[in-house]
Amino acid sequence: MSITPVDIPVIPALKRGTILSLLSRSTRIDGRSPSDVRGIEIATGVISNANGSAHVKLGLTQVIAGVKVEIGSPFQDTPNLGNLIVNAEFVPLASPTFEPGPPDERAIELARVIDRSLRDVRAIDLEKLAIIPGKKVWNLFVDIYVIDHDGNLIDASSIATLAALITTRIPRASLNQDKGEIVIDRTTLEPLPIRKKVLTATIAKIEDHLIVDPSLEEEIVADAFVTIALSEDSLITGIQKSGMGAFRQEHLRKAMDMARQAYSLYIKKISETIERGAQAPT
Amino acid sequence: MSSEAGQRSANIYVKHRDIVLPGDLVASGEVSVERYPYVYCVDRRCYSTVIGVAEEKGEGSIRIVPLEGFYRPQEEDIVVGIVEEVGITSAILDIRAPYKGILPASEIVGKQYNPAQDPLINYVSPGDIYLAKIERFDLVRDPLLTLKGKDLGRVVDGIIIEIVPTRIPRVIGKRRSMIDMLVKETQCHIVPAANGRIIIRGCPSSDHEAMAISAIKIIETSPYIQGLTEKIREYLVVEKVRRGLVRGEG
Amino acid sequence: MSEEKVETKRRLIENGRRIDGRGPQDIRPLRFEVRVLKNANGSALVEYGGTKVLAAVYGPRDPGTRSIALPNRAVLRCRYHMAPFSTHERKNPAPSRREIELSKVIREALEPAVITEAFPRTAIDVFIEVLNADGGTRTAGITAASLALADAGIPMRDLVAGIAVGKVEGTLVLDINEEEDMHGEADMPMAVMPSLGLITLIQLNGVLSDSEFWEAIDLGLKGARIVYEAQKEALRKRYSSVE
Repeated sequence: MSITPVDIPVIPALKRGTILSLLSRSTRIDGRSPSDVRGIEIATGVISNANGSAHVKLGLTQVIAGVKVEIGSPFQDTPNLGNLIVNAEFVPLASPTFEPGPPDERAIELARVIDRSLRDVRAIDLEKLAIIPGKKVWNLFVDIYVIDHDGNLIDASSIATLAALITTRIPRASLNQDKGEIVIDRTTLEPLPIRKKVLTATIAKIEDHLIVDPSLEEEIVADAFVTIALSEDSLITGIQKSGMGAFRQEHLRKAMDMARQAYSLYIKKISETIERGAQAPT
Repeated sequence: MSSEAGQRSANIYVKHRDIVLPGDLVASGEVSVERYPYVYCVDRRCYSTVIGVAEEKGEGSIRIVPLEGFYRPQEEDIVVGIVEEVGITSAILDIRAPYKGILPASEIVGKQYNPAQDPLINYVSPGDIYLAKIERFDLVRDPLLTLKGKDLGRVVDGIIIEIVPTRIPRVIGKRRSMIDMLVKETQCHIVPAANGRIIIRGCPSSDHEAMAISAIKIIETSPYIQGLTEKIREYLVVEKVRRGLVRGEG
Repeated sequence: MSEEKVETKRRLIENGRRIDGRGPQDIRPLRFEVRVLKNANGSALVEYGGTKVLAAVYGPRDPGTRSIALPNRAVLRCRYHMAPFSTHERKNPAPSRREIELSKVIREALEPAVITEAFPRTAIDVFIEVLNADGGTRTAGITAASLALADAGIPMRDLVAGIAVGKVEGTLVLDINEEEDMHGEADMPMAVMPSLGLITLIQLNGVLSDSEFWEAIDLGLKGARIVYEAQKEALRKRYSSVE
């Protein structure tokens, strides 16, 4: 059962008024323009036990994504494909409003939105992850760990997921025909078969104003959000409206333009990080 | 129908007694449309928010009366409440609303009441019925009830029937035309309360009581038509003959 | 399983006709009925072709527990659930992650419509049960919930009409069924308050180009209007008996 949230921190009316009056002059409380994203820091390879990982800071929001692979059986209706399983945890230490327990609806929604954004466009070529088609495939687990909540968890998670996937290295697995069993060569590490670089960009609506990459305070004041997943070749690979408000068509038009802009800022940062081969500890 | 009010024009898009639905545009411009929350106005356009009936209230003014729904407490309303719980300083009553009615002990027992010496449970029990008035209701607290007023107090005899609260005005009628007719024709004492409960007592016979109940049920389920008072009066007259309660009168 | 594989080779759209004979912009036969349950304060049974959904509303009522009440408005509690017999293969009755996500998006699709400020400290409960699933269950659920809320006399800024747009073998189509959803390229559920021009739900599963997306939105808005008129018709039917 989904219930109207009652645990939202109260933003003093004065602050809400300030946010709105700044927006009417196209600026935000942290000085950003409506289409600016916060400062991004990405470090990859931060979890040695994972096959791939990334720690992302989007403003003060922090997310770690870990990728682990396991050999397993394929799902019944997709015998020739490897499997992608995305999960998200909003760990209690990340926010006074996160409680211990099974993932709540926000965490489930976030994981499913990111999963769909990758799956439907076949961002990862799951066919290439079948070791013995019909029998043994790679199961790719992406676990998103939100460790500090200052707004826009989904974009931060999406950036962390992509950075982790791009830098994931898995051992080569092949079928030894003579022995009829799988041979894993741990000395040869290969990247994942990534076909598209998909990221989400989230726009928040506060009355009639649209802003990209909302901070936590802006999220609390906002009445609705739209998360748009894009690939580098301009395809829309996912959309999710959330929040208790509604959008007009004109809002969505403007939001799409802002999302494309944000995507290019996000992807630039990821490319820079990968090129630098950043493995700096945080 | 449109009227000029000052320099702005006003348009009303419904006729008297039209059925309206949520999202139906009922008026635009400078029109008085009553009342919250059955009406939603934005950008000088007003929409009905419920399944209801539009009523003309004079030049350039309309009201939406809901056809469905629960009772929404208002100060000064007379309600029939049933005691659910007896606390230390008050009783909690079910008033058929999303909120419980609070009846203070001082109302039940009197000003000199001392809860320490004399438990309230000695004076009132769960299941007791009261005809009370809503003295205060401001959405921050549950409605506060009082028994100060004509005929208010514990209901000791008779029966209670329940109808959809939004039909109570139909049971009372314009300028009490319907309720006065019902009382005259059934010879029962009938008290309709705003929360959809009606007390029927003092009927000359069980036949009279049965007629009163069925007449009220017909009013409840009748579509919003004109001449309902006369139709119900005719029904009662026929019923009285059928039940042998009068001799020969048409 | 292998029979299914052969099925997918058959075209989903041929000569402008879909597998069930519809044109791309045709909605399935709609059957809406209100006040179908005795106990609920409001209820509705909604069918879009083979998809059959029952919605019930209780409230506004005491939330039962102080900790979920809000001081200035009612809370909405919404549950989307699929009956075990509703799907092709029996569905485990325990709430799945999908049902949890859909309960949230459906609640958020209804929140902009319900005038919750009129009932502080109460709860309005919306229960949606999918009895038979043939595509578009969440949008049918929203349509049904909206009717049930009206039936319960709960004031709303507008009715909410749900419809799903899909892309099937390159063509945009309205009101996709299960097969089109499974084998098509995109599924875009939408919910709209048509009198106010507000979109309260939009999701995209699948891939669309920019121009396809805007075309799909227009198609969805048109389709939502048709559903909206059918909702009003169903509500009016209850009150049209004239003596």
